[in-house]
Order: sequence, then structure tokens, then C-alpha cells
Amino acid sequence: MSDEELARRLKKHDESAMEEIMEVYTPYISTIINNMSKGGLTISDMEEVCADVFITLWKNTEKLREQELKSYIIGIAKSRTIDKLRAVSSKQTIDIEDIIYIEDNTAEDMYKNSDFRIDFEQALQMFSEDDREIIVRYYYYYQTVPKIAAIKGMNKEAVKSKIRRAKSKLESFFRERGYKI
Amino acid sequence: MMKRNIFDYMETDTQNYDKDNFIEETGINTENVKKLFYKAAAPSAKKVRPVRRRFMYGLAAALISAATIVGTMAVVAQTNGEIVEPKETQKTEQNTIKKLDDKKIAELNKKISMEDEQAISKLMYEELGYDMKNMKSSDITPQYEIDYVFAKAKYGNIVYRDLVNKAIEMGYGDKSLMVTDEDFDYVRNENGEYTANKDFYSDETLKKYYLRTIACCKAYNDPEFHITDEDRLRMINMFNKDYQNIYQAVNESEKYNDTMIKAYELIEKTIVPESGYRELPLDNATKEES
Repeated sequence: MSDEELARRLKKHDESAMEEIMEVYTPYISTIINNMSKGGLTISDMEEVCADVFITLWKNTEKLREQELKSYIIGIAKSRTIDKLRAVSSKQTIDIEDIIYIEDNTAEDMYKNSDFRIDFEQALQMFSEDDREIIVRYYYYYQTVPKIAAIKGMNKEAVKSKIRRAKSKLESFFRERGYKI
Repeated sequence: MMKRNIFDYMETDTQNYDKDNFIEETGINTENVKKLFYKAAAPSAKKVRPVRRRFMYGLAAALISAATIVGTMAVVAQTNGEIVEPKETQKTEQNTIKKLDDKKIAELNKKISMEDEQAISKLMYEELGYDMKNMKSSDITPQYEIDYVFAKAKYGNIVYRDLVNKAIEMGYGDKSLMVTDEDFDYVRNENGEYTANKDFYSDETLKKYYLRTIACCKAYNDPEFHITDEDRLRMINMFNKDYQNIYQAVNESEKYNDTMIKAYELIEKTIVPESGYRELPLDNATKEES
């Protein structure tokens, strides 16, 4: 069943849709939580975060837009992971890459702004398929540089340098278009 | 206001990348997630399902693991440098084990990698004669648990020694800071009893811990230090352990409070995942200390 159909059913508070979403998305969300927490959360903690993502989704179905189920879930997963990392230990260092920071609410506004989304998709086209995959692995799946290097059969420095160049390229791209970054 | 990465909000063509090799085995159990969900959101109570217990190596291994780290901490906290009698140690471990819940055990298990398990097993075999491969449940005696706790502690010391000494050999600390076997937290005397290092909480030892921490933090940003992800995890655990041990001492002695807080802040700022992207004010921190 497509995400759109699932989202439609979810908006009607269809429990079986929720069950299906949990089946489909738990491995994906788990990967994100696991990679983001980098060993800072126990399996039980991660399961709690995962459940919390679904609880938030269930309680906020009215805010859900049918085409955006996946990105909505990812957004919740990331923010819940950060909250959990902060909660479990004051000693935990949370390494949110200081790439392109903007104010929290502005980010959400920008995300909802379709012009920006179009620009962002264009920005990604600046990169080769290989580079895009590295960006996605790094920023979406929170894989570490050594892991990406191993998967891609590259050395770590090369991966780091690709990410560094990508950051700078994206930053200039958005600045040129008048975004405050 | 909290700042977030702009990518957190982006919807892009990740759909194209939802290949199996992006999804990793994390140990998260979908049934457990569902149970937690239904418990909290409760769209339908009937869907609550039994949870499979997640003891990774069975109850015995869980007890051993529990005794390992928490027992070590408890012993360190309670000995204050005095000789530990085996009976007291045993009592501490049993009390500790009772207090542990599944969550704690899962956390402890997670910290022990297969490689670490093998290294500890090797120590158990070489130094204490346990045949770990052919252990039966009846072999897991209180004495075995005590021995395991200390084998783990010794292994921890070895990892710590290797990291610190490597940093010092690279010139990030004075040679006098090199860790030797005598610096190990515990030793086993000729009667087979374990004793805590009597200088454990001395002013000199505390200062050494701090300076060693600085040495490693500085080396950490040097590409030549070449530490793996596993080393990084061990390093964080080791330094957290140092911090906890030292903090315990600080609470008791009310000494070094500021110094140790600074040391910990340094660890927190320095030992981060993907350190390659951070420029850290290590020199400033070191100058403040000196």
C-alpha cells in the first residue's frame, strides 16, 4: 500500500493503518535513531523513541499531509532522538553537524515553503549520483564517515572532503538565492 | 532557541535511496515498539502483545555483565582505596544485581562487544584458568563472578593504558604520565584476593587522570592517533568511568571539584563522533589548567 493511502487511512484514525506503518517504518526509523545516537542510547531507549515517534504521529494525524508521511515521520524521529539523548545523560555529546544552521521555526517555515523545496531539489542536482548518495547516507541516515568510506570503498579523508565540499556548495547555493543561512 | 540542521526538515529524493543496504540491524524489536505504542496511545488494548525478553546471552551472561560494570563501579565507590575482602565484594555484587532492570542490563550488554568479550575470556583463561568455551551453568559460582568482574576491570585498564600511552608516545603528554601495570585499579595478590590500588584517590593519582585525559583529548584530533569507532566508544566509556571514579572521590574529599568539572567539559567537547569536523579550543583549555 502506498504512503499516501496509508496517510489517508491514518487521518481517519484507522488502527490497521497505524499497525502497517509501524511494520514498514520501524526498521527505517530504527536505523536513523541508531545512527544519530552513535551508541548513546540503549536498545530499550531506542525502542522508546521509536514508539514515541508513532505516538506523536497518532496524536497529530490532523497535521499530516498525505504526500508527506515519510518526511513527517523522519522529522519526528530526529527531534525525538535529540530530546532523548539530552534526557538520558547530561554527559552525552550530541553531535548535530554544524553545517547549515537556521532558527528552528524558520527551518520549519522554509520546509513548508514550496519554493524552497524546489530550490533544494535543484541544489541536489548539482551533485553526481555518487556524491548525492554520500550526502543522503550522511545527513539522512546519519551514517558515520568511516562507515560510508567502507561502503563506498573510499578512504575516510576522501569522504570527509566530499561532504565538506557539498556543505560549502549548498551554502553558497542558498545564499545566492537570498536564504539566510 | 534550539538550532537544528536544515536537513532535518528537507524532503528530498531519499525515496530513491531506500535500498536494503541503508537499513541496518539495530536490535530494535518491532513487537516491543508496538507494545510501547499501544500502552501509551492505546488505540486498542487487545493488541498488546507479550514482549520477548532481550537477554543477549541468557540470564547467566546478563548477571555476569551486570556484575561487571556496576560491580566494578560499586567496588570502586566503596573501597576508597582499602583492601577489598572477597566476601564483601560478593555481597556488593549480589545487591547490585537485584537492583538491575532489563533496561540496565541491555545497556550493559551493549557496551560489551564481541571483541571485548573474547579479550576478557582470554584473560580469564590465561590468568585464572577458566575454560570459557566449555562453561556450564554450574560453573558460574560467586567466585567466578568476582573473577569476571576483575578480569573486566583489568581489560578496561589495558584498553585505557594503550590509548593513553599511545597519546603520550605521540608527544601529547609528559612521559611520567605513562600508564603502567602498577597504575591498574585492582591487583590480585598471591592469595588470589583482589585489592584496590591504595593510591587510587590520592591527589597525585587524580591529577594524573586529568592530565592523561587532556593528552588523549589532544591526540584525538591528530590523524596519526588512528582510532577506530570501537576505540572511540571504549575511550568515551573509559573516560566516563574515570570521571565517575574521580567524581566519587571529589564528593568524598571535596577536592578537585573545579578541576574535574573542567576535565569533564573537555572530554565532552572533544570526544565527539565525527571529530574531524570540529576545531576545538584545546589550547585554551590546557592553558587554563596550567
